[in-house]
Amino acid sequence: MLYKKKWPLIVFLIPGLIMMGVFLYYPFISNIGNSFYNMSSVVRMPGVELNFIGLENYKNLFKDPYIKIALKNSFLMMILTVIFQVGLALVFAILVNSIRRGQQLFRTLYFFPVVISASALGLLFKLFYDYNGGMLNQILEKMGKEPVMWLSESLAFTMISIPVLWSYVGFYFVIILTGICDIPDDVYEAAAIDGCSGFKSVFYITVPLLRGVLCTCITLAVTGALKVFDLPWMLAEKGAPNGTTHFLGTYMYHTAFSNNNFDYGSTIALFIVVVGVIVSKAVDFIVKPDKNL
Amino acid sequence: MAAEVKKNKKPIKISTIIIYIVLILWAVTTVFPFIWVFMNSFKESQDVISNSFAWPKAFELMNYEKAFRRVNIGMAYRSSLIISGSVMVGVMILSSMMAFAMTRYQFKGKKVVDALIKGSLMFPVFATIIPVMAMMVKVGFINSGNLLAAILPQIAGNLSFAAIVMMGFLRGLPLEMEEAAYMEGAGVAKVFTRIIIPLSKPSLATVAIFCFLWSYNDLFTQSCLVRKKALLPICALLKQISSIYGTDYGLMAAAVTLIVVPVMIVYILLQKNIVKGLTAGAVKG
Amino acid sequence: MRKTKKAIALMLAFGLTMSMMTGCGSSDEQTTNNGGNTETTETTDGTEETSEDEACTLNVVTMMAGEDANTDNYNKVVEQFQKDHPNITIEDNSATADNDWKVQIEADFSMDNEPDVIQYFTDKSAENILKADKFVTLEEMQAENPEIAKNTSDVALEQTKSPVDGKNYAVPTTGYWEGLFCNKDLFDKYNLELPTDWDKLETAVKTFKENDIVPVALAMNDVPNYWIEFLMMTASTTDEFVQIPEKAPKSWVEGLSKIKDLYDLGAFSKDVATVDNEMAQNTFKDKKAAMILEGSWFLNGVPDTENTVVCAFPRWDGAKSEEGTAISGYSSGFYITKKAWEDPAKKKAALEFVLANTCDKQILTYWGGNGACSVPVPEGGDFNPLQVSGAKYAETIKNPVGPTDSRMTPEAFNGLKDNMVAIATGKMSAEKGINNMLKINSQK
Repeated sequence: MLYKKKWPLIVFLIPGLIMMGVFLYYPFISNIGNSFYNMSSVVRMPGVELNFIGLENYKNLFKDPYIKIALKNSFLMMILTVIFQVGLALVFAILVNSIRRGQQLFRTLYFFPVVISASALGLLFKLFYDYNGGMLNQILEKMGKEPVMWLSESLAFTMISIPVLWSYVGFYFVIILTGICDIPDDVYEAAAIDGCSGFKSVFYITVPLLRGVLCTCITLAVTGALKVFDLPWMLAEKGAPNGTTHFLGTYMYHTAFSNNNFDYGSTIALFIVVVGVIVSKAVDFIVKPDKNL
Repeated sequence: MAAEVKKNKKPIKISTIIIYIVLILWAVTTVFPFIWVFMNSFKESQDVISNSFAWPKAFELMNYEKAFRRVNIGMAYRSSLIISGSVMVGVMILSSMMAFAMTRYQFKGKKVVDALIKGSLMFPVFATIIPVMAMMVKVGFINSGNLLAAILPQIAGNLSFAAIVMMGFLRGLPLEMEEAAYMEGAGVAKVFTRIIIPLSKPSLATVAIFCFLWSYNDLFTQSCLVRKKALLPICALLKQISSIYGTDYGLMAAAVTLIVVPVMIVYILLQKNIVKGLTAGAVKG
Repeated sequence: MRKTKKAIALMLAFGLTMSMMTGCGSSDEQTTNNGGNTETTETTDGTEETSEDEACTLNVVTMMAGEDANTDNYNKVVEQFQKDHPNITIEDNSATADNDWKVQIEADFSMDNEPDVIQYFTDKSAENILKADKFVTLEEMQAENPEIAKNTSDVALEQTKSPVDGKNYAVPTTGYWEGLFCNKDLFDKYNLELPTDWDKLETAVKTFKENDIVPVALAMNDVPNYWIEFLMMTASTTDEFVQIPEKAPKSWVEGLSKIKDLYDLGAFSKDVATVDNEMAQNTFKDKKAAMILEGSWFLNGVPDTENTVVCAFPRWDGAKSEEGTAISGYSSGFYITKKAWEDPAKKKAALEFVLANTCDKQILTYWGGNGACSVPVPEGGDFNPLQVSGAKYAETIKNPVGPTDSRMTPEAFNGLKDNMVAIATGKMSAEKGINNMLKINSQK
């Protein structure tokens, strides 16, 4: 009843949409235009004629073997982020919420990797993995074993995934913890009277009531996996070895910034957005966040 | 509350101990990098690479001295706080309004707006920065050193994330309260400011934390839109650690330490709002 | 009276080591404003000069910032300039020249937001900006102030010509050379000769490999540039090397294919395909690797300056390059934009500022014994053994040529870089890799 009249929509929705329109959509759409020209620099220089190449970049997109690798890796990363980032975050949030002493401390400590800039984390893991005297190989050496090529073709994806997944658990941890805070105590109290407590209450109360928050986390996780960029780039630049570790995010950066192919970079950017919208719609379809409204 | 529930049970000590062990183990992995960064901030660059995991030989401050020489730290913190603080507040206001509209109203084109919000979540900065720079040059913000040049685009950039998170939280809020208020004659504005906002304080705090953090760490956007050396934010320190031919890792460790500290303070202050009990009485009413 | 003071000052100045020098004369006589002598500074800083400056703000951008070896030297110039010209405000926005920065600069030029004076690249990577035709030519500058680039060597001027129209726009400062750095102590330890020819290189590679020392430190996925350039250069005559052909020339293919021979011989570390440049450099610095092909800027970072030497890239039988050919040159310089030129006050200020950065003394300070210097270098100076070794090597470069990427678009050259691992491991032929680069290059 309260929400029958539609005029407040204008007040609530329009300011935000204007901001997004001016600073996100207008620039992004004008950037799409670049994908039809052969750009030699990031921007049209005055006095420079650009070659119109039509749909050339879009045709390339479907022929490009690296796009396939990147897409495959990104989808794999999506699944891993949902399982490990959101999953672990849920476990830790429930555990931290269940203890009495040190809640604040754990909340603070778990947030550290989210705050530390990727350049430092990247270096840390680089020094773990380094073949010539990295930390892991030093340990192996002390145990009398042969050093391992941690970033070889067979291992690279796993070794890159570990820091990527680990570093953002804290992010979902905070969001889920907030969701748990929103669950009223009396729900638990009522359940306890009915004999539902301890771990049982987690499955029958906490998780179902977190549905909306978990759906948000999953949406953020899959779209985040599409954008994942800085840690993989630091650990295995340019999809090393042999382009096997490209993700859509790193491949786009590689194309646009390190190879100066800005027009193709714009094409990939558009591709990522399209894939992202499709995937997030699919997520909505599967988990149905709006159910309880 | 779970803790209270446990009290009623028989000695459950062992499971509590296991829980603590698991939590502490994870905490070790999350704290380690920070200690590592801090330790390495007292080393020479070469030493960082060769003896990264060793204790520093001496707690020498040369990297910090260098950082202070390269950037006016006080001014840089000030810029960062102004920019990221404004971004945080702007996003909180706009995103809660948008989420309110998106979760409480049914309207034509809702799905389109939803897709627009989710789509923009994936816009890479590199694809939007040039037209934004052109806009800011045109209105004169870049040349006059107006920090709005960085604030406005960053508000927009964080808005989609914040709106999605707020939408998730608001969906979980029961409608009864709002309807009860309506019965008592409250209008939409009153419902929004007196019920929705207080109830979503924890969620707003969460959104605020991340918007602050991302704005604060977004070196690329800020360095494109803030040009005056005197106004550069603190994360610009990371631009000072390298040359085309290499990076000073000791200086990087010091820079990262200097950059992390204020964010952690903001986080600790804000997360105090993420506490239980706000909704408890409310639903009953 | 003033003349004697000047003479004394000159003598004093002569006695000072080059590294002590802080600034240059902002007026016609360079020597008078030597930072080493306050007396003369007083006389020349007299009223006639400073009062002539009209008040203006000069926007300046250079690449000397952050950890660049010359950040402090440059900051001193700015400081001194501010003292000498109290009416001119220098707004300095120098930054490290990374990818993001280049994007920012290109964007600025396209939006008519360019600075007044900029130190920027002069090779193919500056082509976009040069095409926009926003700079004043060197001739115009010299017509206003004949002191500009007065002693600059012909080589430096030749190499900093615009790739767009062949005119000089930039005043070059210092250049670089690339050469083979060797850990001489490792060579001595295994009784090896320095790799002065290809056979010796191969012998060294085999011996080091047997003894678990990485023969050549290289990040093939990250920065294979120097190997690409030297292999193709050594296999070609100079004319062949500097051409921009349509199809891969035989000599280029022959040269580049050597990377596979070396790879098969075990010349590189096992992680050559994944390691990044700084980690690879570190294996050399830590004496875990015996050789590294690098540029003169690498001199600064080597901790052991006693036992490290620089030698010429080895030539094999049948290599067509002349002896003494090496990748060396100038790839950046100071520009003045037309925007500044239109404003008389800024024009004068810009000229003074460029002069302060490019007069002989300042260039020598920037040079500091590393790389190539665009003005004559006086005898003496306080250099470490590695710098001496570098300088000796630089003297042997009779035929400096610019690297391949100074003639190709960045997109094209990076295309080849991306394929280097595939070429070394035999997954792609060198010919295909080069043809691919040439194809991309011809598109723009």
